[in-house]
Amino acid sequence: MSARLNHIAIASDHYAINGRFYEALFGMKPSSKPRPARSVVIGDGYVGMNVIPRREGRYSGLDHFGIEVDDIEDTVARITKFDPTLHAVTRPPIRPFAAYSGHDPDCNIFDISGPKMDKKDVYAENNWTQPRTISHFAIRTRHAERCAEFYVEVFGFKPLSKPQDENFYLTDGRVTLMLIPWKIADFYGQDPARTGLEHIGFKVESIDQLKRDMEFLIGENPHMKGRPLGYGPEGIERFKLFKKCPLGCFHLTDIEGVHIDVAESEMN
Amino acid sequence: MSARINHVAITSDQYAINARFYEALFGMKTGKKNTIPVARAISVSDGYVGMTHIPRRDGRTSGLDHFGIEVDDIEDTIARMHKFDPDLQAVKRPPIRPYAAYSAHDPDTNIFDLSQRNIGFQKDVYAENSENERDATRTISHIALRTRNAERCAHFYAEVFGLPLLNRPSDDNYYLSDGRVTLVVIPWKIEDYYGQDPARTGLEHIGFKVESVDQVKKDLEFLIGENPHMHGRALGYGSEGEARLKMFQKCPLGSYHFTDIEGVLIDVADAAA
Repeated sequence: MSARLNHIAIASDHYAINGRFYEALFGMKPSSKPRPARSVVIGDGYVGMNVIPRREGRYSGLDHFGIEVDDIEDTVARITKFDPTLHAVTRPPIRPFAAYSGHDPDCNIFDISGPKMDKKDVYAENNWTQPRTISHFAIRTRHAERCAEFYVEVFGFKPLSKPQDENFYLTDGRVTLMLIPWKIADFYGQDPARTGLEHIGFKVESIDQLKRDMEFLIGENPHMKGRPLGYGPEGIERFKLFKKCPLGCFHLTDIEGVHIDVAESEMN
Repeated sequence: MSARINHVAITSDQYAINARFYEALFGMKTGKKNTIPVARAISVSDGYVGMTHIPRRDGRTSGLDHFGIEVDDIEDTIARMHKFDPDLQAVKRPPIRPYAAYSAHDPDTNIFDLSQRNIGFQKDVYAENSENERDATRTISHIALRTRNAERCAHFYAEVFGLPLLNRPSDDNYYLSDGRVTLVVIPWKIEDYYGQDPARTGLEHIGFKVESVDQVKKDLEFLIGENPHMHGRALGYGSEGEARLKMFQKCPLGSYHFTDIEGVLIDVADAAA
């Protein structure tokens, strides 16, 4: 069994410009056959990112992630074996990535895709290399240990040696799924954030170059500016919590406000 | 012990216009004194429930964010939470907040604020809401929460807050009332999301009771004529939009459905219904 962490979805009212932000700053590429009325779908050669127009009644921000597996039916059976109360549902056929959506024991939602399904957009084309790529997805969830066991047993992800923290780090060989224990006590001095996907990380060839590129982009187009980080006592608390991730050393947001941390390639 | 479900918070990039939407359509009112600084959130009220519109922060999601419960004795409430489940914790809120002294969560990690009246903590509309100000014709009637372990969460709110469970209609939901506002706890099942993107668990929609649904419809049209930014989101378009609307319409407490500027789902019903 092999599984790849190769899909991430962001819901946004600013989905079109947010997609362009990732193209402009991280060199992610759109599909050769875009569907302009739907989501913006871009990729880094391995991970596909869907920037979805936010629907009514839904939250904006990081929405879900996705896993490609060898055998979908076997995976759904493994989910049920792990916990018979966990279920999956078939996705609308128009989706470029997923055949099913499922959830872990804490109700964190993920898509499941198989190698044989009729993939669309960048998911049919993801096979190039580039210097700036997604390195990790971070989920902050209440029962992090149980969720980590779930992803290991169901998807065969390998736990990495734990750094000196309480997080769980699981890898598909390229992308790391980081599970951070959610504790309300960590939100002293700020509004408690709900559980779920918290941030994404990139590895880049040079952080200094990335900073220069960011400045250049904002000069070219003022709408390319992300959100301010670390302002005011509550902003400082949010920023401190975000900076605890050991996989990133420079922190920013996209246009939507999604937290992004980056590190140089040799650090990962 | 008595508890009041009297706070709801919405985070939004359009928080200022969203607050005006609730003022304009539902007649909600801002505070008169001891209001929070103008650069922060905006709180409006129907005389019982305060609604705080929060500027969306970095890294946070927008939409319905949390709700709040006012109790007689916070320390006793936290002790009851621990008795229900020792793993459930609360955290103190920054003192600038107009409503809450603590934030806490239920067994499914749905976050709520805890407040206590008459100890000098509350500010803005939360200090002004009183039994005498219940003459509003359009008021919040329910707050709906879709969560995986709905039964356990319903028992949590019943046992910790003494919110009585209402007689169940013929559905899977749990209805808990503080005597005025109903907390609807709906089971989250991924199978319910066939034909649409699964929504994450948490607060799903809010409901109002109004003097006349027809008048609300007319007022909505008038407001959009006055100000095109007062238009909510499209509901029921396309096959996935239809699936989302059908699911929303299952709530038996509302008969007319729309959204605010932020996209928060709202259902309304005639007060007499």
